[in-house]
Amino acid sequence: MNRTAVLAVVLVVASLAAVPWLTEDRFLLNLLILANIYTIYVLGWDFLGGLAGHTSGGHALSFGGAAYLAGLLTLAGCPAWSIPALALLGIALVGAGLGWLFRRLEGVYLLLVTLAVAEVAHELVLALGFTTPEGYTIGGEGGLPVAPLLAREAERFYGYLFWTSLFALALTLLVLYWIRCSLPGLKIRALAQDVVVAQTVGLNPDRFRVVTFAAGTAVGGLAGVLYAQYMGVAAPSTLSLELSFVAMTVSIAGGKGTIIGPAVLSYALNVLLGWLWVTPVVRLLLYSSVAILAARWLFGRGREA
Amino acid sequence: MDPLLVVSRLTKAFNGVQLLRGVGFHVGAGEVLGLAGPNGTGKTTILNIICGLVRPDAGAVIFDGHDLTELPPHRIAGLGVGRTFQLPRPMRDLTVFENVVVAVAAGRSILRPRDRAKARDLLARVGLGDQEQWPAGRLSSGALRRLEVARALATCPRLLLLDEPFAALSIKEERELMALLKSISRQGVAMILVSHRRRILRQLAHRVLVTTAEGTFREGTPGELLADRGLEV
Repeated sequence: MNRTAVLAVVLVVASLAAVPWLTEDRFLLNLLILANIYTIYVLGWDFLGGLAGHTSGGHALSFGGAAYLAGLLTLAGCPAWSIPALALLGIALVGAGLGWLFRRLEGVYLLLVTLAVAEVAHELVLALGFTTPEGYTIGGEGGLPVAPLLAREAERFYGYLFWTSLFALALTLLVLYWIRCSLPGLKIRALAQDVVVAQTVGLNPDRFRVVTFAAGTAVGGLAGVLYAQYMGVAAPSTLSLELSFVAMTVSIAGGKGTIIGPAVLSYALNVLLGWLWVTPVVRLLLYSSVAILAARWLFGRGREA
Repeated sequence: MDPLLVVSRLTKAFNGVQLLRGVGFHVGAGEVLGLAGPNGTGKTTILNIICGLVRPDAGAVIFDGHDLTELPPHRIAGLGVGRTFQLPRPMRDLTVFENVVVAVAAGRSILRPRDRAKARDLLARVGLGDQEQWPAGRLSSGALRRLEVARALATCPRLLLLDEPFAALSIKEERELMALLKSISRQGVAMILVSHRRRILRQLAHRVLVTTAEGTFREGTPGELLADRGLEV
């Protein structure tokens, strides 16, 4: 991403920030809030799978994991304002743990095992439900209630939520861009290019694996907790296979590891597909088809080696 | 003076094939040890064991008092062991400059102006100064060899492991690299130089170790060993 692209991003973000002053159309604001959130989520994969080269097939775990942590924190009685920070910390620790656990796995093996972990989590949240003495069902297909950042009845609810999510998106873009251009970012790219060579010049692959997994998962988790607090619920769909495919395919199609490319494509797709009311089934077919086509490109380098 | 590197009774088998049987040698500071022998007799494996990419079945590799067989490659690099690869392994999507500067600043979290200057200096020394912004994947095979050397030197090595650095070089490039390695050696950097070429070993090496197909080895001065035309190097 060069200076012109950074300037373009700043201008687009500044222009978007004006939208709630221009319109109070709930459909449009909802569409843009979801575009902000899903773009943050895609950026998490682009950092982990694109920049760092750790091809995760279960990135939905970061999104849904953070959403469910927000739900558990709500059940534990934590105030709504403290939930994002605590959920992010929790999901970053989960990411770091997975990074350490899978530190010897690469390519298709890493993709499969991460996909399996996310699917196990998905099945678990579907299976674990209980009924309170008052007769309310918690967990299972209904998910967990999550304390919203702002009451839905509040004045300019959509406007404030839009600004919050846009601020989070802009911050994510800036931080990831800064990392990409920094020395740690160069080291991450070097390790992604050739882990053997990178080790022989003094880079510790295990340390970077843990850190990049924690960071990528935290970014996905930021999207998850924003989504859960916006919707007021952590639903099993936040751990769906579709979400994992979305992250992978949009990042690859947008320019793996470039940060800005996947962000632009994700934003455009979310607005377009949301505007056209494309159903989840059609989306899943679309994304999985692209994922299958992208697989050859994704693992082509491994075969050459 | 104690040797910088002491390799003793090194043994390694791959899939039941005994590649190394009790190989041992030592290298002093500023000394160049030539490593020769037919293909598949374990020369690269010895380098891989020294830099931590391969674990030996038995034996010890002591570098400046540290047992390298217990350490991961990045720690070994941090102790001052740099290496090049037999087939050049550039980080293709990084620029030539990034390939070197990442090695210069491997132990730091912030890139200092002097790190950039050092990387540029190294690239100039290997003749890649005017190609520093090229993606490394665009370099010719000779230029890739020189990039390998620059990247290895960027780690400030006290021991440099050079795996066939003269392959695919033009006569001019070969002469320049020879001069560079001699000047590095004079600065006290020890080297293990893998090469099949007698002329290069004669000019650079103080001693030569020749590995054999039986997994054993012969050691001597270049004059002694390389004069033996019956010895396959």
